[in-house]
Amino acid sequence: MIGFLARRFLWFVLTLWAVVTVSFFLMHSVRGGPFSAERSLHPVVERNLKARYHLDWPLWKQYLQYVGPLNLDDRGPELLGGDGTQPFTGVLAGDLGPSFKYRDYTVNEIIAQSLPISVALGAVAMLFAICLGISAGILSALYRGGTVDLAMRLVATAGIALPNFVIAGILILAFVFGAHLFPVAGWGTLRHLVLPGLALGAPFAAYISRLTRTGMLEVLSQDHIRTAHAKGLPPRLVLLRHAIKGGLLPVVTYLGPATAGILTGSLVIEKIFAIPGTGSHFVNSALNRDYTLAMGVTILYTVLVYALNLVVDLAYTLLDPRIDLEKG
Amino acid sequence: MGTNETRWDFGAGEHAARVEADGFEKGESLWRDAWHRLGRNRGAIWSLRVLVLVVVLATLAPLLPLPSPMALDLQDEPQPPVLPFADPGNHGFTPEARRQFEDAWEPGGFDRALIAARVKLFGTYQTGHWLGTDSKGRDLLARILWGSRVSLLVALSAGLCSLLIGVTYGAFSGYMGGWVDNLMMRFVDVLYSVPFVFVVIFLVTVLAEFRVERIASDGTTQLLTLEEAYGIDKMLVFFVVIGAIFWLTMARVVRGQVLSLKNSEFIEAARVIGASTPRILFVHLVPNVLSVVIVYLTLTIPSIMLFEAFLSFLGLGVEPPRVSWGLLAVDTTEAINPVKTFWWLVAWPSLAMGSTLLALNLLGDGLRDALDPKMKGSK
Amino acid sequence: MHAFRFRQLFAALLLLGGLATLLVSIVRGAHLERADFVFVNGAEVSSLDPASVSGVPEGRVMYSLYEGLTSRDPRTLAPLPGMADRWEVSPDGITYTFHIRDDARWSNGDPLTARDFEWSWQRLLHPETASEYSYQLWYLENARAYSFLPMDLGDEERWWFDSRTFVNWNADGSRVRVGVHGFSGLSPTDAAAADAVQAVRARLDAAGAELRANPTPDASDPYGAGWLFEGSLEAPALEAALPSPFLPEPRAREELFWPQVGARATDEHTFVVTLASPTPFFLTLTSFYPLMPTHRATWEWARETYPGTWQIEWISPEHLVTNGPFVLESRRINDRIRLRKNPLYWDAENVAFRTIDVLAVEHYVTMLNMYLTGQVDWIDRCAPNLIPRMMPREDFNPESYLGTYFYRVNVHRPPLDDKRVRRALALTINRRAICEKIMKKGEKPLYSLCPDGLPGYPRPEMRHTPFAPDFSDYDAAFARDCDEARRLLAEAGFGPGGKDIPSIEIHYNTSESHRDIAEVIADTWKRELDVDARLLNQEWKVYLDTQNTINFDVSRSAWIGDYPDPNTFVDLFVTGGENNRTGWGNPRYDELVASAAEESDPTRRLALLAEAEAILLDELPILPIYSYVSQNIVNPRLGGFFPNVMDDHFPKFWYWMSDEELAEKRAAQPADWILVPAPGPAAGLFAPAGPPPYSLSGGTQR
Repeated sequence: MIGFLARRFLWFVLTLWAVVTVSFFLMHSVRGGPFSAERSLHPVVERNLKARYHLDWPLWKQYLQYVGPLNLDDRGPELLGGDGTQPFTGVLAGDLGPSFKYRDYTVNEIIAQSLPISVALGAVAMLFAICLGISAGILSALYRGGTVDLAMRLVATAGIALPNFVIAGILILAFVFGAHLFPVAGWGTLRHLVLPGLALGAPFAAYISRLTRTGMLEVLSQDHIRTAHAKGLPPRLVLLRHAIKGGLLPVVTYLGPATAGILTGSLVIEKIFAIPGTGSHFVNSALNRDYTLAMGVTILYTVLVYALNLVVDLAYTLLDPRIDLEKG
Repeated sequence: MGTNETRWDFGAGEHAARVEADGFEKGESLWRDAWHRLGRNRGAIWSLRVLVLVVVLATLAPLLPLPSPMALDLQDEPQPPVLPFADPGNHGFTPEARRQFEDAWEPGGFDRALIAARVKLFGTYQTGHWLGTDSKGRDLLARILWGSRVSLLVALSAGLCSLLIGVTYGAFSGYMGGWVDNLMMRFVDVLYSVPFVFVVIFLVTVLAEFRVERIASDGTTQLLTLEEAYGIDKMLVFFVVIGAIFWLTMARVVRGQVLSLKNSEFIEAARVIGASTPRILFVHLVPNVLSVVIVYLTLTIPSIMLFEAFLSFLGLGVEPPRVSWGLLAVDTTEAINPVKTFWWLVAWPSLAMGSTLLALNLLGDGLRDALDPKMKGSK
Repeated sequence: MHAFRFRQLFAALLLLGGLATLLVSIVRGAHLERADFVFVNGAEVSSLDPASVSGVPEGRVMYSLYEGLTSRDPRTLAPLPGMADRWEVSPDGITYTFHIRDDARWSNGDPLTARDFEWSWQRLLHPETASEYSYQLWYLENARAYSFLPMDLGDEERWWFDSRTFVNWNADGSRVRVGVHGFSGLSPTDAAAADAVQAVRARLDAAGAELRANPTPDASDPYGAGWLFEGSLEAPALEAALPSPFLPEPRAREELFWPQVGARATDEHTFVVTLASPTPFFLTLTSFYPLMPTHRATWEWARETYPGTWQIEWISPEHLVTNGPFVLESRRINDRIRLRKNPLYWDAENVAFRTIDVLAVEHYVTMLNMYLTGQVDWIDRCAPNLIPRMMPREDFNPESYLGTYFYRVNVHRPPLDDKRVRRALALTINRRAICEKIMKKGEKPLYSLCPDGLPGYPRPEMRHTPFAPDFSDYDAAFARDCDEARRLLAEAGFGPGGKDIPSIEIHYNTSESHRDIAEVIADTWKRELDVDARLLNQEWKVYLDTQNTINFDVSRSAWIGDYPDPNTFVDLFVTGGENNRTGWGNPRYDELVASAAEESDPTRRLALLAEAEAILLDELPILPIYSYVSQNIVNPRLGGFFPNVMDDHFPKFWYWMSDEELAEKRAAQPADWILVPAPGPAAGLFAPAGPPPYSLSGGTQR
């Protein structure tokens, strides 16, 4: 297991390096820069601004500075001709640099401020997805082929097929302007998180209900359930004791990727409900050519994907002895 | 618009698919009864009918007597639907209107023929705004029907791409295992993580600015755009981008399945009798993962359609005033508000999209059940 | 196997429990009571440093946190006393003397003095600050040159002898150059510099340098320095030859050059400003946010304490020291800025609100929803689809706003290089359809570069058929303009009997209203002139790049004035200006703009600008389309909030009206306006006891 984790980590470092390198050169080769605006800068001012962020350096040097850990500017180590006040910088020193667009923030600060909010929203969405999804899935499986099943499947498909901003709009009309139950947008209390949580969790609830239904059906047709029925146990007890336990397994393994999806995938929901999470930075940093922030969220994304994939793979090994991680 | 969200929807779909179809394995002969089983599944058959209808409507949209989906008729706000008997239609499709429409939409030869046939059939008649109009006074019915063409095409191409590239890549990677598998999957990881907004902007710029030097027949040197030189146009790049992004998850799904199948007895057996690697891959392994592939495909097609709308924002793909379902869906965000809800802007596109996708899902389920022998007895 | 599954379930439950705990703790930490006043500010502000920002949302925060020498009347934008309680202007309009009020304080209690202004203005101009708005101070004597002194000389080092004469040398001494900087308008051969240059030469000769005369201007030097001598000298010998008064580059900037710039604190309370030429709008500029003071001690302390991140640290909520009516309490990116009343502000007794929340919300529908549910009290835009429904409401009153929507034309690309073609295109724009059917907020058709709202300016217009303001005879007038356009095209050799006119590409950034306008224009050109126009949308940054490199036919543009004066528009199109972006240039135009800057008589000056604008409107490198209106939706109970041409609003003056005052206001407004709920405030937030602050009389002006 330790060997497996070590190898996994090595591959992770390699992947991260490749992602950073490709993204870095890609974003610097795209047209437009962080400081272009409707109001053009005076060329001299632009030159000074670029100098401040080292954008006047050759690209390879900017890359080395970004990756770190040695600081190449005049505050770098004395060995490299600096004055030694700040010898280390860059990703390897844990410093993602200053944001070009939000000048009062470092990328580290932006992520530190917004990630917990995404986590909170994600937790609510996850709770909804699990509760709604599982109960719908169980109902659907119990009444397989009946009207309830059909209705549940219709709702689930709607959850997948309707864009979540449409769902959000409908929720706002119903629960804010219809029933005056929740604030319409913003962030600060748990009540603010209910509607965005629902909208964000909807497609995941739909997936979970499908998973539960399938899992339950499989378990319900298995021999030990039939035996339990035959033994004359009350149907509800059979359901609770055996079927749910077995039927929920697929859902458990699904939690990993669903978490990643919910954490980073809330761009539109964040916009509609004015929630200051991480989601909006994924696209906006690219549109603003905020190179450092874009790199920062790319790295964050890679790390999340990797960590959660690892969790999933581990779960798979535990569940399915046919997969041999040591070999794969 | 959803971007990473879109990306992560694949993640979600991937696992739903992976887990749903988890743990089934079987031998080689699975086509035999599949069609029979599918035929017995009423839901699947109905879905098939709906899908055929949608495709036929999309293809024949130019033949229908609809108002132009692009002609501006500026109004203060979107106009609500009117029932056919209240507004049976008018004779607004004049030769002038037709010329303007054809100039703007630039339909291909087939569509021009259909439009000509329409004029033969219906003359200048066009329907009223039975489903209402959008804020520019454009007929919603016409926009939904014309918009379905791009969206269906996008779904189809993304589907094909992920089938061809994704399945092959994933199956090969999973079957080879070891460092080959690792390398191939890490490559996928890298592509996954590189911020694609930059990729798209980069491609659009290269397309617009790259010049190929070519010596013309009269000996002069010409600078040609990629489109002039090789016929690479925005639409092509658009489909390539969509395909390039959507095969990644498919590769992962398939690899996961193959990983759990490759040590099973029937593969061992095939190996023992000396089957070649491609034969094992495509004859033995791939058919067994098809049901997962289908479920995954049906789960991701909605996000493909929304992704297309985001690409349009970046200047790639459908250019307004042309229309697609993705763009119609984006318009709904402004339609829902407490001052005045333009419900028809939400309802009709959602209905069109929803029913198509529902049909697709039910058909997917049906196909999965048909391909999965274990479900045979449980019916 | 079963135990295994239990463990899995248990782990999942544990995970969920952990998440829930985390959730509660995150939300607990985030909760804030609603502020006395909450408004939506559009995009997240890019910085709280007045020297590094340039946008409208940023401005609103700046006017809360800081105050300049003067402040502004919220109605007329006329200068009111600010940090300076009075000022004098010399008769020639060149010298301004500001007297800083005795009770001026920073929010940490430090006295605010004239020296703070001198330092802050120096910082704004300093190349290291790289402020995009440093040009707002270039009206000062020598300020422009100070901004342009190079930061980075590559491998060379520069030592200054005096403010004109310098020595550049490589680290290895392989090349030494002696030169004269064009400071104060000296040319390299200027006699006044000759003595100093000779003195330098004598020193270097004595040290053994071989110098040869090499009088060349240096193209890379933005202020046109010239080299007089070039040669080589070993580094140690050079250093020996260059004792004080030679100063290395950074020190020289402060010690040699700053004293020549026209901003001087003569004592703690007197700040004397010397302009390069009379600038009638300068007093207005002193209230503009780039010219606001920043706290030197914090800045220097942060620089010392956080060598790597000081530019971020000094502006953080924990450290920021300001001087305005409000101070920064907390800030969360993309969420809100919480402002709290500054008790040390000189006019604190007239500031009504104790707290203000500034929200970063960009989505139209979201902000409208927040407004309609009373979560916010002011939003600054309205979803286009809903404008007709909002128009009759009392809380939505669009007013003229100093902005121009126009198309830039690439004047080097045929057929647009022919001014008749440009004029034909400019005439064939159905401005009524654009204003009434697309924008819908009462925008005015525009036939000039400068928008409405510049009182006293004799604004010229391009030649067109006039029509009534209510558009009653617009269609006939437009038809006549189209006839004229066709005639112009025929004259230029296009159309029936002539060449086919090549198709024209309309370039815009991705946005619905830009697209709609482009569509209407393309449609009209096709129908009226048989000109094929294609649409090209680009993502914002790519669009900007295309425009900057003038790689378009016709490109959508807009300009919002920096200050209420035509100069902010006319100045754009001088030859080679960085905001020109059309390739157009006209020597007479440049001359008129330059002489307007020198002119001290206000009427004469405006006449010169109008003459320049008339040239532009004759040659038409731009196609004017419409003049902006503001689109604020404001709680009707808010007092001290007035429409003005800059759409600038000042939190200092805001208060909640009492029911009586609200009723009075409603009685005065047109009867057909729809009344809307005006949520009441918490107790004690009604108008301050004193006289309304905006009626204070201004300073003395001689």
